[in-house]
Amino acid sequence: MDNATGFSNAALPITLTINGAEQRLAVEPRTTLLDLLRETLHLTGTKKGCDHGQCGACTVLVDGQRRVSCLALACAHDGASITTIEGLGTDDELHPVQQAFLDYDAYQCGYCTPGQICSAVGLLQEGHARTRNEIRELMSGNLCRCGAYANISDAILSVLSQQETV
Amino acid sequence: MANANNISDLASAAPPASIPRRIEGRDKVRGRARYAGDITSQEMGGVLDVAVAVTSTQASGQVLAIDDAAALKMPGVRLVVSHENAPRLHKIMSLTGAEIGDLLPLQDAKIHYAGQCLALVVADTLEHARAAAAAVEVRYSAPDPQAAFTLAEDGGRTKDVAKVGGGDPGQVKIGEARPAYEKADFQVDMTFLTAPHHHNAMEPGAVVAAWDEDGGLTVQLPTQFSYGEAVILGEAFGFGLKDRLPRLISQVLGGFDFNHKVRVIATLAGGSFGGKTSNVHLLLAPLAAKLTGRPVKLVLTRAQTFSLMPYRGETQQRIRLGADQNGQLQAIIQDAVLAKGTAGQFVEPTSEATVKAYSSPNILVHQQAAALDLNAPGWMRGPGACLGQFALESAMDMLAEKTGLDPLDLRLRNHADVEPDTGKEWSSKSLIQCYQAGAARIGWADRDPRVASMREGGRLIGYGMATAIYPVKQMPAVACVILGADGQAVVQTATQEIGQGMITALTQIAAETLGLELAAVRLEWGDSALPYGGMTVGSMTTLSAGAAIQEAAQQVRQTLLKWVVQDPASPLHGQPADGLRVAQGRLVAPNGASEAVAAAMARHPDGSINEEAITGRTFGHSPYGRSAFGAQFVKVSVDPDTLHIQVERLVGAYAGGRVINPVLVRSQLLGAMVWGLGQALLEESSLDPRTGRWMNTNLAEALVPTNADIANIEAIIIDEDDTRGHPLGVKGLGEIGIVGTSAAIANAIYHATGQRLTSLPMRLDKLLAARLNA
Repeated sequence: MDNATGFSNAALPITLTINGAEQRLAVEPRTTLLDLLRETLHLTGTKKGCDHGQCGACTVLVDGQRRVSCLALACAHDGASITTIEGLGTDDELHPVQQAFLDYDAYQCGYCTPGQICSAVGLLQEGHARTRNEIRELMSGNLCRCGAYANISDAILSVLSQQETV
Repeated sequence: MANANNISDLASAAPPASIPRRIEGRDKVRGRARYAGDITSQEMGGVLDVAVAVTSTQASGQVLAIDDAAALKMPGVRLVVSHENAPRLHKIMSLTGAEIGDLLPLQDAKIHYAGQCLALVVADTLEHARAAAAAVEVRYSAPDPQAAFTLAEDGGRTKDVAKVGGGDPGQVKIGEARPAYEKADFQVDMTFLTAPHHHNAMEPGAVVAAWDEDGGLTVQLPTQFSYGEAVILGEAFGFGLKDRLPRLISQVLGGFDFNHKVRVIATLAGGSFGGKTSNVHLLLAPLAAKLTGRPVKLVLTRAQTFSLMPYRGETQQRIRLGADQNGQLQAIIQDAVLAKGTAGQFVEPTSEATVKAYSSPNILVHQQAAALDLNAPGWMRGPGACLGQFALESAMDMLAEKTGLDPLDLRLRNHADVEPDTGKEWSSKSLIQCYQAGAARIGWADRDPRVASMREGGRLIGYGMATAIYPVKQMPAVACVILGADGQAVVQTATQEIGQGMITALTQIAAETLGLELAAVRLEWGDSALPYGGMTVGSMTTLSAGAAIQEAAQQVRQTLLKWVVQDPASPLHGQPADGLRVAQGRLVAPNGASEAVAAAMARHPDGSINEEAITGRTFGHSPYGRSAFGAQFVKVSVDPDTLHIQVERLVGAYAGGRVINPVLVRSQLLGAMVWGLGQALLEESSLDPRTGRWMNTNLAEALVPTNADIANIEAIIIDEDDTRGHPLGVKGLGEIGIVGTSAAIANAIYHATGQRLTSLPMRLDKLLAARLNA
């Protein structure tokens, strides 16, 4: 029991499929998906920028949909399938969005980049971005303080165009 | 009708593959790039405690008591450290004027500002530390009613300053500006206000500290000055002379090295922009780790970064311009009042660009600072210059209107052919080419110059421009280049990667000088155990560290050539060393004989060639004035009903000497222009004037530009030879993009609406107020 809140912090059993591997975990009810990934599972590619769902640095794919993992309680996602930046692409073959970020220099410091890339992958799956302006709008939940936006939009647009021509 | 599946916009072509991309780029896009907050217990020998800071809720007074009894009983809690039990630190000197030069953490009960760190809770997990930090109760004395937080209520604190920024004069007097202004044919007299705003790098401040059994200290953190941090730690924790200030001096003067007990490892910085040098958490984590005897990680919350990290402070500037009938400036007068902290020496160098932008026989700068009861402002991208140019370039726009000249023509008439404040010839200056390229790109000549005359789709349209200028500086740096038996080179210099692309640019300089493929060169950086690499500030890293690398690499190359022609086993034996070329890892003689560097080095009796160089000991002293120049051109649209302001196009043209990597430089320029847009329209850290607390301490309310805010943005890079300024030919282009951008936007808003906004950020409520007052 937490003295301050009166709520129990006893760990709860959950099962998550993380980057394709099923994991049985015991998580405190207050633990966010972000802190579980970073602090417990040491999947530190997912970044903490604000911890308030305002910057997008912690974006991951939950059952294929982009989510800010800092606003997701881990225990509320029992049974979910999570894809983090570590689960996209391989050393031999980057995910097309990762490759486009490299080619277009769509990042500088790299801190927002895992979230940008996960968000872009989710955006492409959603299928409603057809124009540069739509990409700009629909990627605006992912802040980039280095100001790489023009290159981020180009990188995503290039992948979108490739997908269309395939 | 268009097919619904068609993509209606095409991506711009990616830059040519021949231009190297970021060497650490694959790690960054795969989530493997390591930042300080990513360090886990696995890397720290299985133990890494987590610290959470407890901060002051009031801005003045005293801490009467810290009640940590409940917190200490909570699960996993190891320690609560406050002024009541913290070890005493020794006073330090901050070379960057940071707050900790005057105010060491957790040393006494006095409160200097809201959000000051009052205690640190250390626990085994983040959840435990966070919960316990929330359970720490602090009792305060009554706050000081005399406390002042804004320039408007400075209470007589305003004083003239002798120095601003890194040592620029606070007061400048060239000629007799006041009488020249009084009798000028045209006069402009305007006052400008700029709000405080924070860096808000995506990565908050973070630090990992570990003491070893021999009393040594290793600290890992994002910083712009690993050696500076090591010296501060050495001073504060009372290490011997070898770990204190003489460490820097011996490195810079002689490259001497000792066996140091303090080691600082600069991790990749997740953005920095001036904000990640010598902040209080540098000392907090080691302080806690010393008490627990275990490694400690401290990551600030976003809200805490507002008070435990610096920001650009509030400024007021009055600008007076006097010009003759031809629009020639006769007087530039700048009176600035700048916020500083009660602790910390930093004062915004607002005059930096003002005294170098235009030719004027009379220039007067009067800068004052007011010490406010806030955490200290500090360095932030384009320090001083971006504020000075906002004011000067807005005033120039008004002068253009008064004189009836095109704003671009006015600037051409006042072009400074020599450096105005020194009279020195410029090493190179391509500003006119920047004006021409930017003007052509945006279609400057095609606009209707009359104010409030243009409309598109019901929105008001305006064009504006401004001049950008940023000084070229060089700092001392030491580099070691080691060519190994495998023909691969290692380059060592303790500079820092903050997203600017230093790793790639410096590796390119080494590879080019050595004649090796890029992949055959590896840069070791950021670690204070390496040779001194200087500060990553002032757009000077490529020049400062690059000069040292170039010189050391040249020496390695010379040594290699001299040896190989004397080696009987080499096909190049007997060739004149001067005639050999090295390229793509091969030594080639004029007669066509050649040998791979790796093959030659495999026979080298020492197994490697090592050379070290120290450059920049005169801090870039030159017989020439040295500066990068540029110009921004902006098209804005304003909704006539809602007054919503949108930057439709933002074009910048810049000349900064040699560009090592145009992909990285373009990204830097675009990013800095995004900063200029944010400063112009969005960024403001709001203070509660009653309590002195930052009010919008989150990224939903402290606005920074989002992707949707950035429409059509372009950076044009103008070729320029600056080998006369420095043999490397590099000037530095990391910050100039922000200098001028806010003024260009202000001038475009004026052109669109006829309303002159003189206060940053230029929000629509200010535009509404200006319209109502018109």
